[in-house]
Amino acid sequence: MGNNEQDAGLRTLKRATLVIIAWAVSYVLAMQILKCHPVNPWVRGGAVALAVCGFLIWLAGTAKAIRAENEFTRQIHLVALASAMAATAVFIFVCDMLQRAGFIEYVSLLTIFLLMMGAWMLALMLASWYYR
Amino acid sequence: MKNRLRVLRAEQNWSQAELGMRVGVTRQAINAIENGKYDPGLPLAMKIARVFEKKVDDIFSLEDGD
Repeated sequence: MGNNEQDAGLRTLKRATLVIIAWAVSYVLAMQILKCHPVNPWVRGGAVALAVCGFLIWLAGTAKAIRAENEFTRQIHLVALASAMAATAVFIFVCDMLQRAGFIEYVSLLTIFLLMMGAWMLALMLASWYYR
Repeated sequence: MKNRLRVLRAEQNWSQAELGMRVGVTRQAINAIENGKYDPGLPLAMKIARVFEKKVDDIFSLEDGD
């Protein structure tokens, strides 16, 4: 691996770490604010905005990191993202039908979000393994 | 799509990793192309053709049904 490639890899890693930290800090801060049950809707709205901004920063950083990769790696990401989206869609549809049928009561949005992220990571590993 | 990448690489005595480094992709990418699991886009195909000093058509060709 050349020095330029190593530098690019390190830059990507640094950027990924920074955006994850930004997301984590904004989320923790927002949760701390919301835990105090503030009455003022501006404070609550600000906490939501803070968490969403942190998440959007992470999303933009991740998209930028993927775009900076070579076309083969981008292909792996594309396959992984499509698979994760399909898995999430199936999960949501199944949950909806189970809810309507009275088998389950409630699936939290956070569960769906975590499942989507998990499916993305799993699909990324499987796609990398397939193209190894 | 079929390709002559493995043969051309062997002629130059390059490893997959070495060819990957020359065209800016990983060893896995070269392996996937050689095994027909991945068809490269035009920029990568042209880079590959350039390092072998050949035309894209000399390396990649369509199969029946493509």
